[in-house]
Amino acid sequence: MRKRKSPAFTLLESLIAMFMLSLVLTFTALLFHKSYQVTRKLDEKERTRQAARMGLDRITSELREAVEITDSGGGVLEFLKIDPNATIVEPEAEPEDPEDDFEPAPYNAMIAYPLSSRLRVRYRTENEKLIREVRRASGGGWVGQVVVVGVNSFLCEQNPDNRGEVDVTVSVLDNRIVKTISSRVLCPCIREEFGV
Amino acid sequence: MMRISRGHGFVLVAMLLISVILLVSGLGIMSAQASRYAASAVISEGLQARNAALSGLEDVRVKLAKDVKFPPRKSKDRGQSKFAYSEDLSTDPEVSYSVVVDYGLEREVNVPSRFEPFRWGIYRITVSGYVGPRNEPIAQSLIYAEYDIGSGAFIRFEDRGSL
Repeated sequence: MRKRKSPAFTLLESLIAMFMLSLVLTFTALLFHKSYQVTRKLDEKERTRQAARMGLDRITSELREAVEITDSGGGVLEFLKIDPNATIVEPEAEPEDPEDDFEPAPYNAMIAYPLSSRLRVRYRTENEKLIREVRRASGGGWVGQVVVVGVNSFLCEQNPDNRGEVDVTVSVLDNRIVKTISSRVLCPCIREEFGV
Repeated sequence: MMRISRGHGFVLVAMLLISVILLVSGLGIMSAQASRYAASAVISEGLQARNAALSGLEDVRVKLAKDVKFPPRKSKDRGQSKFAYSEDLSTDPEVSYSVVVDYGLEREVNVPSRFEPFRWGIYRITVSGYVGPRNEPIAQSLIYAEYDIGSGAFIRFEDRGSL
């Protein structure tokens, strides 16, 4: 067999190799571009889903603390809850030697936590923002904050047959399509108790 | 012995370089996905722990409403004011809750003319929900509630968050 003198590639070999390499690189770049586009689209979807989930989670977890729901119509939710920093008014101590006609002094939720220990919380949406406002139940101005951006609206429906059971539905705009996410909340402080 | 030319080595190096670039990019995409999966797993375990805590609260609510001897108060005379219990909900995955009922604000008066004692005041209840072993949980959720003995209803509820 005759051996070529020069160990280098011929021009044709180099051209073919370069053409094949550019083909491989182009397809790889296309593949990466496509996967980047898909990832970006999924990220947008995820952000929308996360906004809905965060909004719903925030409303439901605080609504669970409600002691009274005062307004739940027209895209507004307003309820009363106990101030987390409030201290309880303790019940009177037992008498040492009670009389036979002893009757304990009345003690209930309003005595344990008077109006000054309660907060009025309001949720509403404005320009695709979920806003939480809070003020003392005894009076004062509202203090508001944006909870999450991207929430279109929300709806709260109280079950008339089961007090304290509320269905919360949050809607978001996903690529101009309205998508909803719902959750059922049982408020322990509003629920009717068993016949004790 | 065959002589290897310098020119052929260039193709090998170029191909290795391309392979490394592709491998690094692929690994980058894969690791981004892995962290996303890990985050969603943590969220799901947190939710499991919270639901375990809520079921613990429901359990204590039923016990308080139905069982007149709950919480057991024998230790009250010894200056103890808390009663605790725990329950396993499932073994795989390990899900459980623990309940502490503080009856320090319970008032009880025995009057000779009455068969049952007067009982009023508040029970302070702390419920922890766990995913994983209770001493080293993967996720934990804490709930605090106050139960009015007179009306037999919760008057305060706080979701104190998850770990």
